[in-house]
Amino acid sequence: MTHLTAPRVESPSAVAQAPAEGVGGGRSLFVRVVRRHLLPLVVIVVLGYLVVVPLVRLQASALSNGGAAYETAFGVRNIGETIMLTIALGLASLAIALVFGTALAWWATRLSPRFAWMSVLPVLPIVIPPVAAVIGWAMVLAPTSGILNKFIRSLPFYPTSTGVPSGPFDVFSSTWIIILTGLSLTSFVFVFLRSGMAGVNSELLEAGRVSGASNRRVFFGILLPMIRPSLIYGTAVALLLGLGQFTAPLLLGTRDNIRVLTTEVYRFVSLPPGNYSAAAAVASPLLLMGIVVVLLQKYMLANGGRFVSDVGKGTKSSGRPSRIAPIAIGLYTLLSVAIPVLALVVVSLSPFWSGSITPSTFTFDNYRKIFSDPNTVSGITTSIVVSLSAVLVSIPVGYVVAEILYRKRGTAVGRAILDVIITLPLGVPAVVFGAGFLFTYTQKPLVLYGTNWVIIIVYVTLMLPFTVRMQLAARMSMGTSYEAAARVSGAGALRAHVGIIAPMMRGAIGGAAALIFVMLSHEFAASLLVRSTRTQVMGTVFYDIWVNSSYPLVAAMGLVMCTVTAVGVILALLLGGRSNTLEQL
Amino acid sequence: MTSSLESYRIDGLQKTFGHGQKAFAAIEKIDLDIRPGELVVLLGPSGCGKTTALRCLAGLESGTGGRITFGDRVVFDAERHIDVSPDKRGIGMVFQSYALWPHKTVFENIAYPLKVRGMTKELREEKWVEKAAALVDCTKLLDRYPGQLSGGQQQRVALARGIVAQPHLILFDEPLSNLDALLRNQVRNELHELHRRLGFTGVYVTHDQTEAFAIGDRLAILQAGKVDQIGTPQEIYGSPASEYAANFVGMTNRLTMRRDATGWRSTADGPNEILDLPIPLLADEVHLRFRPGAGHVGSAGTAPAFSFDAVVVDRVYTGGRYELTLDYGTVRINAVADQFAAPSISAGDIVKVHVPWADCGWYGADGQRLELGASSSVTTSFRAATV
Repeated sequence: MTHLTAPRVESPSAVAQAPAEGVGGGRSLFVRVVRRHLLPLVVIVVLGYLVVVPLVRLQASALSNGGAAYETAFGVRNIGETIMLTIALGLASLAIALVFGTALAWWATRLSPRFAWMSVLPVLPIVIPPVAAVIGWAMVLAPTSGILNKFIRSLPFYPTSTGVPSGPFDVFSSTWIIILTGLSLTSFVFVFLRSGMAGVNSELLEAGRVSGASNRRVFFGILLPMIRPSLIYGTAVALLLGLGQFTAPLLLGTRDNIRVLTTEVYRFVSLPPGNYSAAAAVASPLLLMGIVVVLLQKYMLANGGRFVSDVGKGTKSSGRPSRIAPIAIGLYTLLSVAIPVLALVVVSLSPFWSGSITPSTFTFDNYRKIFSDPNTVSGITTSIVVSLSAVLVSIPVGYVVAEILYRKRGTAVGRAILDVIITLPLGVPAVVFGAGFLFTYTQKPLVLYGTNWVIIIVYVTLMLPFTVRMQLAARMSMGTSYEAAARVSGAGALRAHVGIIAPMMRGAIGGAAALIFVMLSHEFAASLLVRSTRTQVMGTVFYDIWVNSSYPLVAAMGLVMCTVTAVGVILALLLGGRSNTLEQL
Repeated sequence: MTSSLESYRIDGLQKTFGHGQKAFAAIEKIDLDIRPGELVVLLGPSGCGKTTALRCLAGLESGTGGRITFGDRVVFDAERHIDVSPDKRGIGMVFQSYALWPHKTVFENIAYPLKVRGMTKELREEKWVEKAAALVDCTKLLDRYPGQLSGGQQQRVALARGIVAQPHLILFDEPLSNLDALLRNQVRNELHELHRRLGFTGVYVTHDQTEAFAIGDRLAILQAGKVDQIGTPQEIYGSPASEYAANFVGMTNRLTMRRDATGWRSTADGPNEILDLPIPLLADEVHLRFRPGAGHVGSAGTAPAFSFDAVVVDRVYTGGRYELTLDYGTVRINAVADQFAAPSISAGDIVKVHVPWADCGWYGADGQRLELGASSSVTTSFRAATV
């Protein structure tokens, strides 16, 4: 082998001599500190400004004037009821979500190969526009014109009553707000628990079975305790989402004046001239709960090390397939996705809506009306533009934060702060963020209200937890050795990122980008607050139609949103690969 | 290549993880001198700091104290805050997990060190990638992706990537531990041959003593972040410097003797014979170490030996010979019996075990080897006197 025994010509780049470092007395203290801490510091400052400043300014305005805003906010009649209902909504929908989410996650691991594809179905409610799902159910269960109500009333044994025919179900009630919220939160619990269960080696469960424990006992005694971190995380997220729920209470509760704290926040901001201080005051319990739950969750998971020992070695088979599993998952998909979407389809094709399905009158008129309205079209365009822009910003931001957290850059305190900053948008309701951003960016130093920028900034902030968590997960499963191999091969840090790490993560990055796009394209709560007459997105257009117009038009708009979402999901599947994209959520 | 070889020095390297109460010293203090062209093996159980030391050499970890020099170039100095990044150290490395990039073909994987170092002439005109691939016998694999290769093939590709740029120093982090036993021996021998032909300087980390003996010019046995012993394979095999090293290189039998007014006795309950041991007066407690293969049951042979009685617990046929589990009082030991003596032995028998004097390692209470001197008078007086 001549090339390996020949005297080596010192090619200057082959073995860099690095004179400044190799021979001299080392770098100065300043250079070292800058190199180590500059990036984390800049990231913390920028993201801190983005996340914390709107919340702080909002809160500061509530506390100004000796807290007069609290008197306004909590002097409202029935405020006690509002608070009670908020708590009831949070806890009851959490209970529903925990029971069904856990059961579905368990069943999803017990699908026979023939039905294995069904394991992604319970994730669908996350990608379906929530406004569309809620309104879809409204069309089914509206007291007078609901499809189901009308059907039940037509049954022979149903007692005839006098007056306007109505009932037996009333979707515009707190009970149904809670049920529908619980149904949608089930998906979130499912996602967290399934990833936890997938990491459990099935032999650990089989060991329980052969030791003499029943299936039920293995489930409660071995499986659930083992996935405690996922359970805690899923519970925390579902509780926060339930407490901060805005869509269902606003859309369904307005008619009968059913109020929760989030709708109060919206009411104070939207009633001219806009009372930010009162909105902030009424939001502060939510803010406080969000911070408490985030910190509590971090504290409870602090010694998570002992749970992860078996993660990643899980074998694919996980015991005998269950026959109930496909039925249960199918039923959930029917309730959470199929029925509301079908209701939207039927109603959107009807010229007017009375609760009866008459296919002979079906028409596309409603869609023509929707697309001939310039507001709607511009709303769709704006949604796509701002969502794509937000994706383009949040992916690199998430990449950098994941790098800092994964490679333990900067100080431990800095990373803990960063971790809390990127988790906060999950803990604080989107409505509260919306109010904070509206308040912050309508005044100096940055007046962005009325431009797309304010929406983009809100969207990037809301998506911080997702972009970071998804990319961090990919980074962790990749490990450090690929990067180390690149570095010892002679690649600098940047080159290793560009040539090795980023390309290896492209599946995860593509999937994250598409999923973020999907979630943003139907974002509703924060958009409703930061929109202006010139900047509308699909969700706000939908809301205006709901408030001002007829059911069939609302249904058509809802389906347009579903279509945009579907395109995003297909994009996600193409970019991220079917198996891992939805699971990464 | 020989002309540009240099020596590598590790001086007082320390590495502590964590701070305060949770601080853990992975490397307490390591000094190591690696001579040009030699392959040094760092040997030790998991957690002894060997991989951390290797990663410090690579620049993938930064020590918390000490110095590392490549030739006359300081690549790490804790005091002067010098820490040359891995890409500027001019090294090659073979990883335990191979770390082949799945999105690059085998050719691209091997070519990467040349590409990022700007060695285009070597890459394009001199065909170094093809030559390196030929050296490890994977010329036919160049167009494939790592996911399409077997474990053994991936290992070879990783090796090619490590040597392709002809780095002066190549680091091996347990490169054979993911291969099955047969393949491991084969690749190990190929690696040995490769080193002999190319003459690079190498540092090789492993926990497998057989592998270490086979491949190393010198071995460094690491214990709890310190070098316990360094020497040639023959030196370490023949006279392990400490009980730790002795145990690690297979001297797993251990008998403890204590001296009282009457003489040496075993501390094991049961046997009460007074032993005639050639131990200097300053020691009052010694540990005898010997390999299971050194303890013979049956014919005593001609070599002077330490002999004692023990009770047979079990007998296992391992092909060509029998391994015996024995109780010497309360101490359990292992020895062998030849094919002729063994068939008549069964559990419960009392047999005589002979350990040739030359195969005995004597260690003081501090665990350090006692050098007894090679005087013939000692040899003759060395035998067990049964009471």
